[in-house]
This record gives sequence, C-alpha cells and structure tokens, in this order.
Amino acid sequence: MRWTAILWLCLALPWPGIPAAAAEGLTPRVRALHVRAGPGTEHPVVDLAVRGDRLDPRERRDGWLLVRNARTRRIGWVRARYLRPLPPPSPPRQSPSTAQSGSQPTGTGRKGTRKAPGLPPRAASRALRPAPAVPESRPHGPPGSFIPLLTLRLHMEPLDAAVLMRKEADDTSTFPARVRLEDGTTARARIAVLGSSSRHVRKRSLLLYLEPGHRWHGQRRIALDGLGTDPSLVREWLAWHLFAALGVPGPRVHYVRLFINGRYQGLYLFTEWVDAELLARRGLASGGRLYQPRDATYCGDLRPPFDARRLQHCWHLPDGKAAREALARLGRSLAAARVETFDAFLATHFHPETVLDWLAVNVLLDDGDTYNKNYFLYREPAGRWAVIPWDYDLSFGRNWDPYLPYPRNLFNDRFQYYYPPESGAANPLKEKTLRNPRLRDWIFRRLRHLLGLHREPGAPAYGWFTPAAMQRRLDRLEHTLRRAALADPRLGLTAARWHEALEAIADFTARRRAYLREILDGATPWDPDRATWDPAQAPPPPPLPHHLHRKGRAGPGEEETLLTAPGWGLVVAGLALTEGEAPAPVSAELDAGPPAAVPPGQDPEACIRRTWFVTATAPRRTVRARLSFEYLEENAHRHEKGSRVKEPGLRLWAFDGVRWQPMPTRVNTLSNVLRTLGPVRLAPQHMLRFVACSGKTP
Amino acid sequence: MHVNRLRRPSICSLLAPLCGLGALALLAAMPASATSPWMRSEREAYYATGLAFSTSRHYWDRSGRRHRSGCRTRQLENRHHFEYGLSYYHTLFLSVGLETKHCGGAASTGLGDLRVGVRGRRDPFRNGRTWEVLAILPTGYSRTERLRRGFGEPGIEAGIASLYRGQGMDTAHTWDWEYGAALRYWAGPPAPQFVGHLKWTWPRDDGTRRFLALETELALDGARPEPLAGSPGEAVRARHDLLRLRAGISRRLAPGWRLRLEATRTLWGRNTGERYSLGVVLSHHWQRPGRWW
Repeated sequence: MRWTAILWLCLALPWPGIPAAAAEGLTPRVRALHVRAGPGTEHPVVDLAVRGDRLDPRERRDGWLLVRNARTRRIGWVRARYLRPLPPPSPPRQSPSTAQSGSQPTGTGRKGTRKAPGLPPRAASRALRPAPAVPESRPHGPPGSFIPLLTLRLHMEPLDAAVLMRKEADDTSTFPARVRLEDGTTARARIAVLGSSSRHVRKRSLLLYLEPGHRWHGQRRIALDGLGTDPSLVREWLAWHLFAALGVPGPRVHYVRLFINGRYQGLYLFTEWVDAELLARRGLASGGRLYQPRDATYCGDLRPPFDARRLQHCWHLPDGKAAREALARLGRSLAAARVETFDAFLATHFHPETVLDWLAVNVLLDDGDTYNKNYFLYREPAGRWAVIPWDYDLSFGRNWDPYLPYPRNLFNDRFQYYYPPESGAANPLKEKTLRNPRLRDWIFRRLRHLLGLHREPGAPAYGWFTPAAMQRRLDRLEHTLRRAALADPRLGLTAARWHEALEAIADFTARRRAYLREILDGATPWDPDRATWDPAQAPPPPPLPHHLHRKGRAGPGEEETLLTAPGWGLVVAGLALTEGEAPAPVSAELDAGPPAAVPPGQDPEACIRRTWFVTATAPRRTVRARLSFEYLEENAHRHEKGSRVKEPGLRLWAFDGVRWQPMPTRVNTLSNVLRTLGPVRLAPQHMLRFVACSGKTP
Repeated sequence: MHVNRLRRPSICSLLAPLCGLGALALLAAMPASATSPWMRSEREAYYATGLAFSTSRHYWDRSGRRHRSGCRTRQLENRHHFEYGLSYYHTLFLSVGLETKHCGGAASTGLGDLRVGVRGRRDPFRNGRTWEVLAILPTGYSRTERLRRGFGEPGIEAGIASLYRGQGMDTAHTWDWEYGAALRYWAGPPAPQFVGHLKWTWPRDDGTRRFLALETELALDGARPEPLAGSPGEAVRARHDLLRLRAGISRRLAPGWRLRLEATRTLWGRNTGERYSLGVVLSHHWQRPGRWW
C-alpha cells in the first residue's frame, strides 16, 4: 500500500528536467533513441524510439524515465535529457492515393471498386506514429501498478535438482532442499513436481513444503506454477487479479524467480494454497471442510448419483462419513431445487456471491475447463457452502481441442472468442443459476460492470475488462517480467513470440467484450434454457454463418472499432481511423468459405477461407484506417485455414476492382487476427475486397 | 524308443515317476516375479495378491524328451507381492506365496520361499531402466520331502530390466516392451541360474491392456539332476532349462486398482515338468498419506 502511494505521488509531482508538456507526451530529440530494460546503459535494449514517436512517461529514476512507446507499445527506460515535448498534432491531411494499374485478378469479384487502396510507406509510418494517449487511471485491485517479482533461492543435491527438472512425469517423489527465507536464514524443505496434465510439459510446476515452524512470505506450502501451459504467462495472474479486485475468495499470487544452487531455473507463479488460513482471511468461518473434484476423473460436477463409490471416485473428500454425506445431501438438494426459486436456494445453502462471481468470471474469461474440476467447495461448520475457484490457464481464448489426442487436446494453439456463457461441463449449480432470471440478471449486471458498460453502485472493479485497462495491465506485466521470462531456460520464449501471446490476450479482451455486449444487449440471442454445451465433449459444432454484414461508425485512435454481426456476435472487421479523422460511417461484410477469387499466383488452398469487404459509406468522404480481420481456428475440425496455409506467412491482399495489391500485414497466429500495418484508404462507396493468403508474394 | 533310452541305468531313469514329482514341485515353487523395470515414487506403495492354479502330467528329461509323470501334480498358490518407494532412487519389494500341492498320495502346504530385495535406477532421469538385488530365503519347510516348496537353500539374485515405450505421453494408449535378465546363485547344491524375460504389452481400450511374455530359466551346469537331500537314490530337478509363454489381459477397475487374468504354459524344457496354469491377480497402488515432515 505504501509502495503504491509513493509511486502515485511520484507520478503526480512535476519532474525536474522534464518539460511541463510531459503530460501531453514526449518524443526523442535525436533521430533514434535506445529504450532499455532498466535505468542504466548496462541494461539491454528492448526497443528503439525514433523522433516523432510518442513516449508516455510513467516513472523517473536517476535521470532516466520509464516510458511507453505508443507506436511499438513497448515499455522501457530512456535518458530524460534526450527527450522533448511532443509537438501538437498537425491537422489531418489527405494522403494522395497511390493507386496504380496492375494485373487482372484471377477470379471475378462479387463486389469490386475502381480504386486501389493506398499504401505509401511514409503514410503508413505517419499513421502509426502519433497515437493518442491512453488515459492512465489507477488500476483496479491490489497492488496498483506495482507488480512485485519475488526471488526464491533453494539449495539441493545437484543430482536431485537435475532429476527434479528432468524426471518422467508420473513420478511423485519428493527431494530434500534448503530454502533461503526473507530474513536470510535457511529452512529445510522437501520439493516435488506439482499438477496433473501440466506434469507433461517441459517446464513443470513445483510444490515445496517447509519444515514446521518456518514460512516463506507467509506460506509453508509453496506452490510454484511453472506457467508452461500458457504461452502468455499471464492468464492465471490476470484471473486472480480479477478475483482479488472483486473480493472473491481466491489465492494470492506473485511472480517468482527461482534459483537452485545459484542457477536461474525460470519464472514461476507462486500461488497461495487453498487452506484454512486463506478461507479465514476471506471471511469464511474456520473449522469447515474442503472438497476438491479429482483432476483426472472429470466428474466432480454435483450431478447424481451420490453414492459413496462415485463420490470417492470424483472428489477428494475430507475424512469421515459425515463429510461425504454432507456433499451427497448438497447434490440431492441441488437436483431437487427448482429453477424459479433457485435464488432462495442459493441464499440458504451458499455464500451466493461466491457462486455468482465465479460464474461471472468464468463467462467473462471463457473458462470452460471447470464445473467438473478446477474448483473447491468449502462447507462452513454451520453448513453454508462457498465456491473457491481454481486453475485458469485454459482461459482467455485458449481452447480445448476435443478432436486431438492427449496431450495435444490441451496443449495447442486453438483459440476461441465466441463460446456462449454456459460453455463448460454440465453442473446443476451453473445451469440453475444461469436459468434463474434474478440470478442471471445479477450476473449480467456484474458483467456489464466489468465490461465498463454500466456501473453498479458500490461494486468494485468497474471497467476491469476493457481493452484499454487490459492493455495497461499487459504493458506492466511485460515490463516487469520481460527479463525473467526471456531468460527462462525451459520456456524457450522469444521476445516476438511472447509479445504475440500477450497481444492475443488483448485481442481476446476486445473481441470477447464485443461478443458479450451483443448478448447482454439482446442483439445476439442466447437461450439459457438450452442444454449445456461443453466443447470438451466433441459435440456437433454450432453452424457458422455464410455471410455477415455490419454497418457502424469507426472512430480514431489506438483502440479499434469492432463491427460485430447482429445475431452472431462475431466480429466482421476492426477499424481504427488515423489520428485526427472524425468518426466516420463504415460498412463491413464477410463471406465464409473458400474465396471466390484469389490474387494471381496464389494457391486457394494457401488462403484463409474467408473474404472480407470494407467500405466507407459517407458520401464524398475518404477515410484512412488500419484494419483487422480474424479467422476461425477453434479445433482440428472447425477452422477456416486452407490445407496449405502457413500461418506466419499470411498476408492480406486487397482488390479494388482492377487489381490485387499485397498489404503489409501482421498476423497473430495465436488469436488468429490479421492486421494491416499501415492505414488503408477507403474511398466513399468503393468497396474493397480482402483475402489472406500465405503463398509467395511476387 | 524314448522309453528304451530312459531305461538306461541312471538315477532319474530308475526313479522317473519320483523325478517328475520332485521337479514339478520345484517348478511350481519357482519365484513368480521376474526382474521388473518399474520404480515406485517415493512413498508409493503397491500390493498385489493372486490365486493361481497349475497342473502338470508330463515332464521333459535331461535330454529334452517328454514323458508322462507318475502322477498328476496340482498346485494352488496364493501369492502376495508388496513394493514400496523408499525414495526416488530405491524401491523395496517383498514377495511370498502360500502354496498347497498334491501329486499321487503326496501333499504339501505352507509358505514358499520369501523374496526380499531392492530395486534401483540405472538412469536417474527416466523410468524403465532398473537394477535389482534380492535374497531368496527358505521359510522352514522340509528339504527332504518330495513335494517341497522351494530349493531349500538361500539364494541371491542380481539383474537388470528395461522398458521401452511406444510413443506419446499417454501411457494408456501406447504399446511397450520390456526385458529382464538376472543371475541367481544358491548357497547349496542348486546350480546357478540365468533367468530372463521378454514381454510385450499393448492397449485394447482405455482401461484394458494385453500382454504376451516369453520367460526362460537356464541352469548354468547343463540341467543335470541332483540327488534329493535325505533320500538316497531320488533326484530333483532344481537344475533345469525351460521356456515359458505367458499371456494375459489386465483391466483397470478404479483409480489405482487393476485386475489381471493370465495363462501360462511351459513350451519346452530339460529336466523339468510341462506345466499349465491359470491365474488371477488383483493389484492396488496408492500414495502413502501423511505429512512430508
């Protein structure tokens, strides 16, 4: 708390040596300026700021400034003396079209225009340069913008240390170790590999037990999540950050750098274990019983039958027949409870907010890997139950693929924005809550609050799930973890790959928000009474649309306008007008299926099976916008990739009715989003057609 | 012709029915478990108990010729096998059988040899590469009875085993094969032995696996009959060669629980009985609950 206060005080005070215009943004005095990982030339260069880049200051230390480059979105340290205030933006200029004559397309376009999209490199760089400032506000939840990075030092027999990291997955042995505590003393400990399916990834999670009487950061049982199943490294942290912001019982988490015998072993997430201490801290009565669904049996779903054999098979039960019978009674009560009065049932039997917030977060983050595992039930001595969430690595769009064999069904790059709110295994607690109008209304209000659509008086974490807030969070995480993550010997992360994974989180935030908004507004129908839909069960996939259309108004700025198709909630296209442009009406369409026409020399099987159409609809007004499109890659059977698509080589092509032109494109292969690197000129009433192919560009 | 050759003056040819009797009795008491490539996790316990019925009506003489025994041997054995992970590097195991056997008018009931040993890792980073050292201890049965339940001598055994897995991380869906080889030394008259096995395992469905194994025991002195202690003129077949086929199927009943059905047949031998057996084994493995400290 004190740290946060000091940091915000520093940010609020004027900094000597920095012009007053710093609040408006800074830019290098020199042609190019190194941006470093820390305040000093001994730190590695993480970015290059060029004159004209907008650098938003965040912190000052010893003549160095921590800045965020609005163009590259990177955060790092620069020397303050090489900066000057950014000049006010010049009035918007109309860039000349660079349309040139070209070859005829191989196919006949359904919709074509006479003008080609303009893509002069200078105009593109100009458009990318001055991005509007993202308003900084105090982020939600503890501990503000300060993300602590702890260090844990162990000493072990060298052979034990090597075996621990390399031994086969199914072994559960423990090894002796010594832990250096915060006060410099050491304590004996035993260490083992933690987890179930995550034991099979290269970087395992670890569990450490200190000898009695000793604690490290308040914990005797130290669970270290290896983050090996999440390429972004931040899903769990973000989920727990959200729960903490909502005040839901859940573990505290901290990133940890682990050293064994002085050697860096990698970045871990220290996750507080769910125990009596945590529950007491969260306001639940102590002395109760904790129930956890077994990870391997996928049946801790509160569905009948409730005989002793099935309960033992599906749950880690507390000792004693009475504890087992309490769970059986709860299951039978749940089965008998009526949907119409389920709100009263929940109030009687549960701490209802623990159920409702759990469901709201699961809907928001699209966590379908729960309801039959990955949660705890806690029964207070007086008989009331509470839900304790657990395990969020398969969230934020990361998806189970039911058509792939284990373990690729879990560890893959599948991504999905559009699973409905009830997604996940069957569980009467979930289903009856979502079907009860009063409880559903509570969850929807909480979702609107988190999405920043409508503030609930007195509720915390308003707007937690907005693209701007998420981007700020991701920037902070990237800055804090960058060195530790890239030096991790077992993750094998490159800066580009990690950045792509973080960008995928941002893409998910924007698209999931747009999708949920459609449902909350009623524009996309959603029937809570329909059967539970579980993507893990390889169901027949819901149908895909053949054609989607959406008109809307695009605005300028870094945050793009997503045009979602009514009735589906799917994004047809994303547009961000170049700075200075007034909001403009636009129209986007999408045809699913193999493209009717592809650029000359491109193999249709090397193309995405979608065609996009975008136009500016205001008469006599040309707009310039960066565009984004997405394609589906939900699982091995349901995707829109041609059989010879090489995702990293995907490039957008635009057809203006006369010729095809390749566009500088950035593809996020995780979130399946294609972006134009520069602005595209959208002439009035001239529809441009886009396809994406990975064949060689002439 | 075989009969004529058998009637040459030798201990075994003179007392063929008794030889067959003694050999069968010994074979049935052979240690049931081969060198294993499986290590237990620390504090992981494994217990298996099984019931096996075996019978034999014929035997092979020292030259490998097949003869009819003087009586049919029938044996019922209840075997118990326990393993415990002392640490990541060492697994302790113990095995003993309760046997009852009949042949003609002779009968014997009681404990067979006790086997206790330790298994270790040859490759510290992976499962499936083990060494094993064990002691074979007689449990007090009479060395002079014809249907005795072991060699009646203490022995030691040292061997290695390896397991090769097909592919993938999911052990339920891969084939694998293993081999084991060991040398056995006895304190008394029984000749040193080489014991080995080769085993294939492949899945049938999620919870069911099938296996086929070839097992061999070879006496290092040529399978020569040896006199039966305390019974001048009688011989036993502690020294023998044999090749055995074992096939079976195992089914997972619940997490940690398996049931195995198996059939065994001796395919070939010298100075040993031709045995058929059927068995059922129930096994359970669990992590010992408790604190780390």
